[in-house]
Amino acid sequence: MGKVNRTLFVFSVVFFLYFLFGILRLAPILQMFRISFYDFDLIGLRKEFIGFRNYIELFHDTNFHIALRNTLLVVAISVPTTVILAFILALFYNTKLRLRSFYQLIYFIPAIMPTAAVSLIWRWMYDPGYGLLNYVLSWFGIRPVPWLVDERIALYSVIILWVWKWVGYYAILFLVGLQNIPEMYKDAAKVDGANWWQSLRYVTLPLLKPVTLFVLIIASTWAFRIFVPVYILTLGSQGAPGNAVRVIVYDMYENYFVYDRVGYACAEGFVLFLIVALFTFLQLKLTRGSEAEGGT
Amino acid sequence: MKGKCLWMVCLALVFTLGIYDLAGAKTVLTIQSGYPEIAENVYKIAAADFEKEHPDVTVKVAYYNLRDHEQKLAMQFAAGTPPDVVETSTYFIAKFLAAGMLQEAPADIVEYIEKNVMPYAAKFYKYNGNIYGMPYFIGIIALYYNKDMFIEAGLDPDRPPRTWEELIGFACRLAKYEKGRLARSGISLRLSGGGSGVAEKWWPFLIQAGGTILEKTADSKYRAGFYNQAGFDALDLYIKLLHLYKVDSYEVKHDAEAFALEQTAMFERGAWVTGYLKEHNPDLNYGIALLPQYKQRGTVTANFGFYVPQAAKNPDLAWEFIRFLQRPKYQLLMPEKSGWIPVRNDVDYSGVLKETPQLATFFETPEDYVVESYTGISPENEIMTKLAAHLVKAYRQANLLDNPEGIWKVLEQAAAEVNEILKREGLYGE
Repeated sequence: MGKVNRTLFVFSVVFFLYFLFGILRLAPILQMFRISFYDFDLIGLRKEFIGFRNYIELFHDTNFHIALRNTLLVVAISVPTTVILAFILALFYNTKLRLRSFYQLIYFIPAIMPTAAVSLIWRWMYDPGYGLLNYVLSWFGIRPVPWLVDERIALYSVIILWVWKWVGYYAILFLVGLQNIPEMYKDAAKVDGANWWQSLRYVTLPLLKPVTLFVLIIASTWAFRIFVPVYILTLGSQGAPGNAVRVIVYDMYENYFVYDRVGYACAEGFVLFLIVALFTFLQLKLTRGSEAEGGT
Repeated sequence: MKGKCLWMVCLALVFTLGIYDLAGAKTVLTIQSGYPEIAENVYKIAAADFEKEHPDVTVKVAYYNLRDHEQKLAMQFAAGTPPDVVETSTYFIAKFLAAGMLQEAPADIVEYIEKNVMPYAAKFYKYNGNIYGMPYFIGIIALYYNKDMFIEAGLDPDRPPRTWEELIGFACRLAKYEKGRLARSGISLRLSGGGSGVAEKWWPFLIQAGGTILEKTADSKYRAGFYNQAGFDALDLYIKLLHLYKVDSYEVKHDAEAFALEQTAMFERGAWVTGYLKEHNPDLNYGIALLPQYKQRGTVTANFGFYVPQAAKNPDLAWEFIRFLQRPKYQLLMPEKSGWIPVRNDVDYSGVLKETPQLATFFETPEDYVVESYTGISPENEIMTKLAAHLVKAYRQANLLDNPEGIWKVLEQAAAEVNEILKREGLYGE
């Protein structure tokens, strides 16, 4: 293959990938941004350009405020909890204990199970009368906890489910990172007299930074997009109260499908996109900043 | 020569396969439902019978839970690929009707509706003077009560509560406590869950107190109809049942499940629960009664029927299947197998009533019984869902007990939100 042909080939392959990315990723975002300036319904009864009115309404919409607060709470609690637990699990997986693979499998199963199925299982576990959790609590003489129906704890019930679902998956990612750390660094630390904690703090954690960053970004992006557990757990008379567990994607769903306010839901979607983009940018910036400081 | 033979064999093969394919091709008619218990026990049976009479047709019965069904329908209509027969409520279909996406009912069906359908159900299918769709079943909220528990509490099992005062008194006698906490609710109220269900179950009490969710104004528009004494009384009743009389709590099971498990003595729900009880507790000794009276008697209905979209692939066949479903066999299967009440009034339901006598309550509507239904305006679901959120929050507040200002404030805020939605949609009237 001549040089020109090779260049053409590379260019066409790259162009094709960008084209696909544009069609599948950018175009929907741009379309969502465009629709967010319209009073638009699903079946075309309304299609009126209203400028920033949807965005202005978002600022005054109590439901959106509740959804934003709840979503931020889900991210703020579930991400650190999941990441820390996953890291601890990964350290455990990385030892030479017996049945290590079995435990890996057990913790990984929730991640490969459909979220809807997982949510249904937890719905049963949270049942006030027959739920497993209240049954266990009854051994200690603790009164049944209305896990879902009490609006003060319903959101935390969703967070527990979310952490349980993803902890095994992130643990496997951390394990891959841990196993890729060359033994010589740890050996060198040992020779220098570092104890287990110092080795973890000054050798393992800095070398795991790329994996940690990846896990943090994935975990926060997914937490921002949480929907299915909320949808399932609010079903029926034993369900969680809508507002107590309202998150942004649930609010979008309701505006889009239930209230037929497509333009408004798109405005919410675009705000969510900006929040996630900003959050990811900050995470990248902070991590790169600390990398530069540490000189790694 | 060899090449020629090969070509001929290929041609023969293609021809044979083509003929086979043509012979095997059947018209596929799709019907989509949001009620699995009806789809399984009625539509599927009817579909099999229809296929026997129409060997060239395959009827596909698709069903989902109600929320998924409505979400799918919205997308299908938007994409121009709706099912041939849509089974849904009159209030959900309203926006598609306004958008001109549904076919008018053929003349014979219009005539049939006028002659054979309960008049209070038929009126919901009229739009701009024309009939769209075919009424099929109705949901009427009534009071379920456990007769054995009545006997155990020293109450007459054939004398359900007739007034709010009796409802409270009976609930107090029927509630059971163990170690200081409620083990069996006297009445199971809808206290939680997402969506509009909480407001829908509060609505009958509001009607009995003389109010309504959406009040029609002189200019044929609407405003919140519960920021008044009726709304106060209905909300106050819930607060008292929960926090003063403590006949229901968040720690016990609710709704049909609780009733089937004998964990509640009374609750209000539609006829479908009879089907649920047959499946989950066939030996339960229960009765169904009209809802009790406060300032008036009344309840809420929801109407469900079949519609044929303009974009249906097989509209004629769709109407044919709808006609087929009117046969008495399927009308009788509705209450018998699913518990839902059909709206055809010329069928002899005595056999079904003999088997499930409790259903008789759903067939009787006294003249003084106020029966309300959804208005069919487009933001109705949003209004009900947002009102439900206010109610869910209020029910939890024990400090609303003997706190009229607090209750008025809840109602004021909820009404303000409802009126704002109506204003946004240009539907608000003074």
